[in-house]
Amino acid sequence: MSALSNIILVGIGILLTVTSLWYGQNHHLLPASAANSAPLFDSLFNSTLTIATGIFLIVQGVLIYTAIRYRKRRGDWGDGDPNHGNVLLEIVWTAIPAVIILWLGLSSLDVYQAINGGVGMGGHTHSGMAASEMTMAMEEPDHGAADSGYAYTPVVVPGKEVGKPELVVQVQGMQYAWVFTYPESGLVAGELHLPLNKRVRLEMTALDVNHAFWVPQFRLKQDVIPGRETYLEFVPSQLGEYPIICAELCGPYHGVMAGQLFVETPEAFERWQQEQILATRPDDSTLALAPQSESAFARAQQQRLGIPADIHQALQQGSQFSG
Amino acid sequence: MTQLYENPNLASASSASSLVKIELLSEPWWRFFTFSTDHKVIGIQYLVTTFFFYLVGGALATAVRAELATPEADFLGFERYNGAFTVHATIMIFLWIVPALVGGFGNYLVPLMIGARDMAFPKLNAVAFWMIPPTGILLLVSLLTEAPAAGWTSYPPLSLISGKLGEELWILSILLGGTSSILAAVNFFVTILKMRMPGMKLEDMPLFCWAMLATSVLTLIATPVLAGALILLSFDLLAGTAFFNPTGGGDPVVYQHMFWFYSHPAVYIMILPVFGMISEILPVHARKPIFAYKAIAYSSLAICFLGLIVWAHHMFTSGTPDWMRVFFMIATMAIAVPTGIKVFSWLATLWGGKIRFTSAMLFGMGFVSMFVVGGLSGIILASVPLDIHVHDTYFVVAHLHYVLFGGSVFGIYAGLYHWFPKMTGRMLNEFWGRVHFVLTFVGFNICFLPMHKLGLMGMPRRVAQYDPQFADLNWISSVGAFILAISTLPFLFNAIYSWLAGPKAGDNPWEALSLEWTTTSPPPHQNFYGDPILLTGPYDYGTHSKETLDYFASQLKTLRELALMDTEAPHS
Repeated sequence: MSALSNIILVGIGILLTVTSLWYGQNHHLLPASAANSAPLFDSLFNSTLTIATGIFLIVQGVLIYTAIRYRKRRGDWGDGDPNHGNVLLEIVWTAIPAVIILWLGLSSLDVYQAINGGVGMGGHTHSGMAASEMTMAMEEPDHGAADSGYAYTPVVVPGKEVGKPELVVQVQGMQYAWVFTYPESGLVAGELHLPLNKRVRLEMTALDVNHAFWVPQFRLKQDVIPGRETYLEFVPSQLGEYPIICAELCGPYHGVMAGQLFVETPEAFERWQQEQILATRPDDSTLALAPQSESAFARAQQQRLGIPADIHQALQQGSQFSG
Repeated sequence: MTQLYENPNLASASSASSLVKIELLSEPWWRFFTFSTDHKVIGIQYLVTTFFFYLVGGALATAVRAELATPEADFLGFERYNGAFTVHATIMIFLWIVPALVGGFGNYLVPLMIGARDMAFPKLNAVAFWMIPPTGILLLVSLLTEAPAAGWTSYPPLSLISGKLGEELWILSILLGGTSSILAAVNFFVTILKMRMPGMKLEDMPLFCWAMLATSVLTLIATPVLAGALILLSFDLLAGTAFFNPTGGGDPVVYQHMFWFYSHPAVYIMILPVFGMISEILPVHARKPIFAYKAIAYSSLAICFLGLIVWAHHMFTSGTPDWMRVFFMIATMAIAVPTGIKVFSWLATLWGGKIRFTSAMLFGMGFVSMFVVGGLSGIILASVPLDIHVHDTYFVVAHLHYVLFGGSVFGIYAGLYHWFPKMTGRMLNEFWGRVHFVLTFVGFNICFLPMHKLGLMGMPRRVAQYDPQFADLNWISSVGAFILAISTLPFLFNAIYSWLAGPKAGDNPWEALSLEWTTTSPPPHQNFYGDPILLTGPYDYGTHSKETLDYFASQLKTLRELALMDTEAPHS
C-alpha cells in the first residue's frame, strides 16, 4: 500500500472518529433531564450512540465505496476476485464487536445499579431485597449524592439513600388516569407533586389492565400491573412540570392517559400538600381539586371553598394536618 | 464436476449432433388453485397469497399513518385505530413475512438447492399451505366484525376485556398459522437433513439451506409455547378461568414470558431466511464467492441458539427480577457478534467484485444498509438502563421496522427480483425494478428514521392521539408512509405484466452457480431432468473460465435432452 493511501486511510479514520464523537454529544435526541439518575442514562446513551455512529459510518461508507469502486465496468462480464475468506480478518471482526459488547454490557450494568440506587426497580419485593444486598456488598465510601454524573466510575451508592426513601407515594393506574396517594398525609391527588432533591419511592399497582409509568425527563419507566406491586425510586433534580405518560397499551384512550408531575421546592411541596388537605377538610382523604397547572381554575376553586388568599401564612400553623 | 465426465450417456450423446428441441410442458395456470404437492407450486402459492396479505397489511399501515399525520384522533378514531395497528402487525408477521420467507422461498428453493425432487412430506406441505388462507380469512373477518384491539402482543388483562369475538378470532387465526408454521418446519428439517443429493454434505449446501435449518429448529422449539399461551388465553377469555387474569389470581406476566418465548425467536424466523437469501444473492451479482462460508453458516446456528434465550428483553420494565434483566441483557448483546460476522462477511463479499446493479442487487445492498441501522438501535434496546427509557416508544417502532421492513421486506424483494425468472421463466423489467427500489428506499427512510427521535423525546407507541409537540416529525413520517404505499405499485404491475409477457429468462439469466440455475426456468415437475449434477460449488465465482462454464451448460443441456428422450421413449 502506498504512503498516500495510508495517509488517506488515517485521515478517514480521524474524520470518522471526530464525526462520531461530535454526533454522540450533539444529537439533540433527548428531552432535558430532570432526575439525579438521568445524566447517567444520558452519558451511557451518548457513548453508545458514538460507537453506533462509528459503525454506521463504516458500514455505509464501505457499501458506497464498493458500489462505486467495484461496479461492473461497461463490457466487462467477467468475475471478481475469487477470494473467499481471511481468517485474520474474521477474527478481528469477531473480536472487536465482542469487546464493544462486553464494555457496553458492563457499563449498562453499572448504570443500571446506580439508577436503581440499590433498590430493585422491578416488581417483587424478593428481587428488591436481593438487589439491595448485592449493592450493599459492593458499597463504596460515600462520595455524596451529587457525584452521580459519570457512568463509568464504579457504582457509588450513597449509604443514606439505600432503602430509605424520604417520600413514599402510592400510585394507582386505571383506564385512563393516574391517582396518587400520599400515605403520610392521606392525601389523594390526580397529579403528582414531588419535592426537589428528595429520594422518592413510588409503589405502584393497576386497577384494571397493564399500564406503564413513564417520565421521559427522568429516563425512567416501570410497568404498572394489576395484582402485583411494582416500584420506582428516583431523586427529582430539576424544578418544573413534566408529563407522566402511560407507555403500555391500556385501551382505546391509551394515548390520552397522561398525568402531570410537578417538582417543587420542599417548601412549595409542603404548601401544596396543606392546601389540598385544607381544601376538603371534612374528609379524611382528600382529592386534589386545585390543579396548579390551571391557576384560574384553582383560584375559582379556592374562592368557592372560602380559602383565604393568605393561605400560606395560615399553613404555617396548620401543620397538625400533615400527620 | 467429475460426475459429469463419468456420465455414460454423455459419450454417446456428444456424437449425436442433431438434438431434439426441448418442449417445456407448460403447466396450466389453475394448478395454483389446487391441492398440489409440488413444492414449487406450493412455494408460489405461498408467495402470491402472502403478497395479497402484504397489500392488506400495507393498507392498514397507511390508515394508521394517516391517523398519525395530525395529533388529534380524527381519521380512524380511538377504537378503530387500535384495531388497525393490531391487525396490521398480525398480518405483516403471521401472514406475510413468516409464510412468505419460510413457506414461499423456503419451499421453492430448498429442494432445488439441495437437488431433491420435492420436500420430504409433500402432502404435509400442501396441508401447511392450505392453512394459510383460513388464517387470513379469520383475521379479515375480525376486521369486519370486531377487530382485536390489544396489539399483536395481546397482553392480558387488556386482551380479556377488549372484545371477546375479535380476540377469539385473532387467537384462532394465530393458532392456525402457528400450526402451519410447525408443519412446514418439520418438513424443512427432515428435507435438509435427509433429502440432499448424493455427495452433498452439509457444508456443501448453499447458505440459504443453513438458514432454513436454523429457522426450522427455532420454529419447532418456540411455536408450541405460543400455541400453549394462546390456548390458555382462550380459556381465560371464554371459560372465565384465571391463568393470566389477576382478578382470579392469575398472573399476566406469565403470559408475557410465554408470548415472547415464541415471539422473540419469531424475529429470527423472520430474518434468518433473509440472511440466507442475501448470502445467495450478493455473490451472484457481485461475481465473487461468498466471504467466510463457514462463519456465515455457523453464525446462523449461533443466532438460533442465542435467539432462544433472550425473550425477556421485551420485558425489562415488566417487573422482571434484576438477575433476569442482567442475564437477558448480556445474552441479547451477544447476538450482535454472530450478526456482525454476517454483515462484515457480506461487505467483504462485495469488496473486489464486479457488481452488477440489478434490482435484486439494489435491494440486497439496501438490505445490508438498512438492517445495520436496525441492528445498532437493537444494541441500544438491549441495554437495560437504555431500554427502560425507550421501551414501548416510537424508538422501538423505528427499530422493529428497520429490522422487519428494512431487513426482511427488502430481503424478500431482493429474493423476488432474483428468483422471479426461475419461478416464472420470465424476466422482470429492470427499469421499473429500479424505480421500485428508489421509491421504497426513500419512502422507508422518510417514514421510519424520524421515529427514533420521536421515541427518545417521549412519544409512546400505540397511541391514536399524541402531544402536539411531535406533530412535525409525525407528518414527515406519514409522508414517507404514503411514498411507501405508492412504491408497491411499480412492483405489482411489473410482476403481473412480466409474468404474462416478460422476456423469456432462459435457464440462468444471472450466470449463477447454485443448483437451482442448472435446470430449466421454470423447472419441471421433478425439478431436474435426470439426476441433478453438481458442476461447481454454489459460490465458485472467479474460479472457472467462461469457456468452462459454457461447456458445463451445454453438457447439461445435452443430458437434459437425453433424459427427455428416455421419458418419451415408453410412450412412443
